[in-house]
Amino acid sequence: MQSKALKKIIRNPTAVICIVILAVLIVSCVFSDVLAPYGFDEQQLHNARQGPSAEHIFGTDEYGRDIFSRILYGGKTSIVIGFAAVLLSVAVGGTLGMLAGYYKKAEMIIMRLVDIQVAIPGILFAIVIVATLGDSLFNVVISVAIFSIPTMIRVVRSEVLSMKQSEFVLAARTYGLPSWRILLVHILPNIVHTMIVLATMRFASSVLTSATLSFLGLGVKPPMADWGSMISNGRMFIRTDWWVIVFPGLALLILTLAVNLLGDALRDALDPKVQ
Amino acid sequence: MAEKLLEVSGLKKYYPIKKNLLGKPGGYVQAVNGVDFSIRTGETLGLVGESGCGKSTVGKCIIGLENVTEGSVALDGVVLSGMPERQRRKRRRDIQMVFQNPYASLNQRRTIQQIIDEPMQVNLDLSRQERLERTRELLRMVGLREEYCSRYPHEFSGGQRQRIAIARALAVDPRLVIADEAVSALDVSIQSQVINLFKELQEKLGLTYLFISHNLCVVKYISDRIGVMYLGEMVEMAETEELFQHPCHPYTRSLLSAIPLPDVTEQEEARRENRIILQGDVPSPANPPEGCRFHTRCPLATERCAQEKPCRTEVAPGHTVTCHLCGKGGGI
Repeated sequence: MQSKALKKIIRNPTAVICIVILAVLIVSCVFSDVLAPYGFDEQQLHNARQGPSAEHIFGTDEYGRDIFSRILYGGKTSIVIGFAAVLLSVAVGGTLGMLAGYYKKAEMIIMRLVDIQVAIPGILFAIVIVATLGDSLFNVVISVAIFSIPTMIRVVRSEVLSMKQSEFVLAARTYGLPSWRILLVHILPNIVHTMIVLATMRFASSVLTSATLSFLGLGVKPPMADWGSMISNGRMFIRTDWWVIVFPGLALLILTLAVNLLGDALRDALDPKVQ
Repeated sequence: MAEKLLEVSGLKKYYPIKKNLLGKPGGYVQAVNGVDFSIRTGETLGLVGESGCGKSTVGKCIIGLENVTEGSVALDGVVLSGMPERQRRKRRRDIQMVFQNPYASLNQRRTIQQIIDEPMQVNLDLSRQERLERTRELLRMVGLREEYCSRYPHEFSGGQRQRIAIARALAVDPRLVIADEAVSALDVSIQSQVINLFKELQEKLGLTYLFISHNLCVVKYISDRIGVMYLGEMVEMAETEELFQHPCHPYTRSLLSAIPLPDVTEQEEARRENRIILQGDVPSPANPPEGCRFHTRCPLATERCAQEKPCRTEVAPGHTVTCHLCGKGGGI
């Protein structure tokens, strides 16, 4: 099964291109210390807001910092937050969703909590968390994950609900398999593809959410670079110096697009019905 | 006469329809409404009826996938219905089930070995090696090759999958095997193979079956006794021969007259002569008719049928009918 999915991915040109783009992005951001021509906080005030040139290929911002270098450094934070938030939401949302789908009593409590969460804007939650717990990277990850958790719970729950009625689960119940084993051995492997696909989609939106938080001044603090805050700073100069906002924006666009398209390809590859 | 293995008495299963704001159901679907029967050790009881008559629900209540609303299910004199899950779990191995759809009843992501091994792992005190040997033995018993152990369900055909499902059901030495439409999803040629497998295994292992099907020919071939269900009630029950020779209930008669004959001319003739075609649809089990539940479609219904619920009467030894017209002296 697994190797079949892998073959399907390799045969899909879109997926391959996305994987290459992601690999390049991730590698260059991870090795930003080596690859970046300038430091993320290296100011050259006499070179402030210079357009793209041989020295600064993406130009410089209002403090004369090299935008290309800052994109590399900032990418590290953005991608780490994206991955960590998605992992957290898969772990928490997946577990709660499976409990809610399988146990009637748990469903009542968990789904009402989800309703509460959905009724309150996620941004508000994020502000509360960051304001009360401080703006460490971990807290930012939590507040970003909170955006994805309710969706994850709902999707996983509905998948479990339908799986619960399938005959192989009924069969497992007839020979007395404990419910936790039914959940882990029979249900989880059959819904994991849905979780993977949802996770890739939420990855893109998590990066965007972390950008939103930085934009509001709740995320990464200056002078640390982060794509969201770079875009937010750049908007002041959008009429005169377009490169300050366009390049980080493009980086964000390419990352989210690649992850989303890869998510689509993964969904097709893991679905046995799609040939 | 062999001892009674399974005793079902007054079995009722109601499903609440929709709960209102206060959590009280607005009504009930009376899926099974007071069914009594028993199965003797080593025999096959066939359960027939059209879709939605509650025959599968009876199976699910017996095996404990559904909680019983009223009445009881007892195996070997021990009442299983209403038993706390903890105790019930220890007795689950006594009743096993073969499901309708062999494509859905096997987890696609597990090997055949894992599928057949799991019930043993939970219920039997065997070492890994012993279980592996038993799995192989079971595969041989259901007519598959031992080497199939490490394959996945999607590599098999429907008939082979159903054999695997049978092996899984037999893995824990059940006292009673419920076959819920176990052959309806298969090709006709495969159906006969699987039915013969059921018969062979019964002879070899002395199994007891509850065979649920809508296909009268299949049930006739495999069953010792047959129960006919209509709208959640058992309308007639008799030895197979007796039921086919002397059907009493008008519903049974119409069912029997609907069996297609292999020969076209015979079929035409039979059609013309004694085909009983029922009018109308099955009433909703959420709002079943008063009196005899069959009176709305019964060609022989009288006024009494619409008002008074018929009682079960024995028209011949072991042959019971629930109909006003077939009681003692009634005789149609």
